[in-house]
Amino acid sequence: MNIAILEDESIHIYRLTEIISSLLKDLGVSSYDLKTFKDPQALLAELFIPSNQNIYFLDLELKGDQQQGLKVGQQIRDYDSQAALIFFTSHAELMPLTYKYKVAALDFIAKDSLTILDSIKEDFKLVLNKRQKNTSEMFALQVGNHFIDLEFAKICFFETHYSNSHASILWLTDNRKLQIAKNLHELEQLEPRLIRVHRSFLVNLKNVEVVDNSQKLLFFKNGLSCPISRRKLKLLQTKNKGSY
Amino acid sequence: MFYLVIGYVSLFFQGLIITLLFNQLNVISLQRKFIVLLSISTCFTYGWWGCLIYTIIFGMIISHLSQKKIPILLSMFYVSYLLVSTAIIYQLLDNVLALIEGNYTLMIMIELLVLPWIVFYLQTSLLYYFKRYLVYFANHILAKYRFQAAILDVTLLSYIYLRFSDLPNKLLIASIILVVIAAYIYCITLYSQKLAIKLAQAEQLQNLIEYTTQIEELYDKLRRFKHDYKNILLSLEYCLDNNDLAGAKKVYHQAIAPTRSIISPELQLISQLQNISDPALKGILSNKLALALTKKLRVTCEIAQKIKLDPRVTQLDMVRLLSIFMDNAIEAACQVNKGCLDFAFFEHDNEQFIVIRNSTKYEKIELQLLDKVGYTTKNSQGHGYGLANVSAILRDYPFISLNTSSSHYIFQQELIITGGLSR
Repeated sequence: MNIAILEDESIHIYRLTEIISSLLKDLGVSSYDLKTFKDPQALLAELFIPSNQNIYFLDLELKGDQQQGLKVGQQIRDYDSQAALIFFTSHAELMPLTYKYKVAALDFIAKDSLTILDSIKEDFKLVLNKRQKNTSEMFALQVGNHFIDLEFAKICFFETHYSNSHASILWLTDNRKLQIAKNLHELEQLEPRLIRVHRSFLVNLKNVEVVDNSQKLLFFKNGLSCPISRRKLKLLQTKNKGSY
Repeated sequence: MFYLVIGYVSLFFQGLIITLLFNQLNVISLQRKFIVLLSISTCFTYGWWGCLIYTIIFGMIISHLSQKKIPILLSMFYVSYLLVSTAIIYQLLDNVLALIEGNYTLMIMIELLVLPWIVFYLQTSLLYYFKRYLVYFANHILAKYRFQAAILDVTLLSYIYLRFSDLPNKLLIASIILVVIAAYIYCITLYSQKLAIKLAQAEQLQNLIEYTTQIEELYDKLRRFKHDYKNILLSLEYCLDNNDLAGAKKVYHQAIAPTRSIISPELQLISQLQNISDPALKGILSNKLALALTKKLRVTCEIAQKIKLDPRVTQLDMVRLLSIFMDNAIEAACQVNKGCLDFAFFEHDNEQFIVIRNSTKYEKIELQLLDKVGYTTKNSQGHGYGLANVSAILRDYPFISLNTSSSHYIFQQELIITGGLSR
């Protein structure tokens, strides 16, 4: 685990390093690299090799500039897409949601918070969990103007959008629903592993748990369901027979 | 035999025109097979009661396809309006056609190949202008007053009876009836739209008034605090000067610590709302967030920078969207002990994001159930149309994406308004 702290006040650096080293001891992490910086340029010159085990603690307000931390965060994010960014601030105005979107910040901690220890502990656990997960294949999809990376294994199915023929709705295993700026036809050509089981449904069969022949429905691991056309159902049955 | 076939083909074209026109109304998206099916069902329309049956069947099919979202009376109104207006145009053009006397093959050719196209394009261009009024009228007035819907249906359908009767000026009478109805729809729609805008403005004013009262109250609190804090500091100074640590502690805990609550939630909300430059949004947000505060929810509001709603989205629609989302969020969060409501509105990479999240009673909510029209967490009837209205509003904005998620006791709605800002 690689940890860098960017903070311009010595007392906070001291406090954070104390907390971090005691927490890592608790969590049983013995090998880690901890660097502290007071100047953003120094940090940016010495960034870690991109990895999901990098953690950057960034003070939001540096040398009187309230946005400085965010700018540094954006630069780190451009270089290292998987690092965990944790902002902390003395401001009363926390912006966790906004920053989560802007730089995919992991957490947002107030310096005077009473639960600072617990928050950091939770964050460390999250980062450690990432290490254990073998990174499954990613799939870049356009949402609005921007692209997001999704694990292919999380995709349940795509559904036609109810009014916009250039868009589709993606249902994921973690109970999320995203509007994708591509229609089923385009997606089908983009990714051959997705199967068109119905005029308006494109499915990742890996996540199908039960096939209901009588109701002509596919049920997914998380309780989602989608219809399947009669023709495709037959096709699926013969395919399954072949594999057994 | 030959004439019968031609008659049916021409009827089929009429049916196709009506179905395609209906599809253009955009009240429901029809699949291709249903369009064919509905067009074929025009073969009933021999004789006046055949037309009646046709209209009723069409209405029932539409109502069924929309999962009862469009009541039968409404879909019948649409169909009968289209049927009658198309038939009148057909008859008018037929009268023109009758000028070429004698050459029957030419007449039949024109009738089959050219006439449907002309009628279709004429109707399309008419509908292009009239669609707005028609749909608004049907959704906002007929849906409320079933009686009026029934009367209009009967009036329109009476034309069909007229068509097969032997009155001398039946075409003229029918045209007059249609024009009167169209004028009625036009006027009523304009009037009620104006009324809706007036109501919305009144509500906006009310919201702004509440907003100012909130600010005034807050200012009053701050003023009192300002008055007190000098005295408190003096007594603190006195204690410190005399090395009276116990006294200083007492002053701190009794006088200073409680003031934290003054500067907390409301001030944070108001200071954030300053950054919104659209008064209507500011009003609805302050109203809903204040409501959430009175319900003892933990409310946060993030509007990091000055922001103005994308001009392609009307304020009225955004207010409607926000109030639906906020009402749902507040209601869900109230079912939880120490529930919270978070709101964020910001710009990033040429996109505007609006995020609303709330805590939920259950670990996660089945999102597929939410899509069902009429689904509601409330027990009483008449609820559950909020999210259906959201999709209805978003139909007009293909550049807005709506993303939803629900897990770990958090429900989140996220609107992304894509790239309309000039850079």
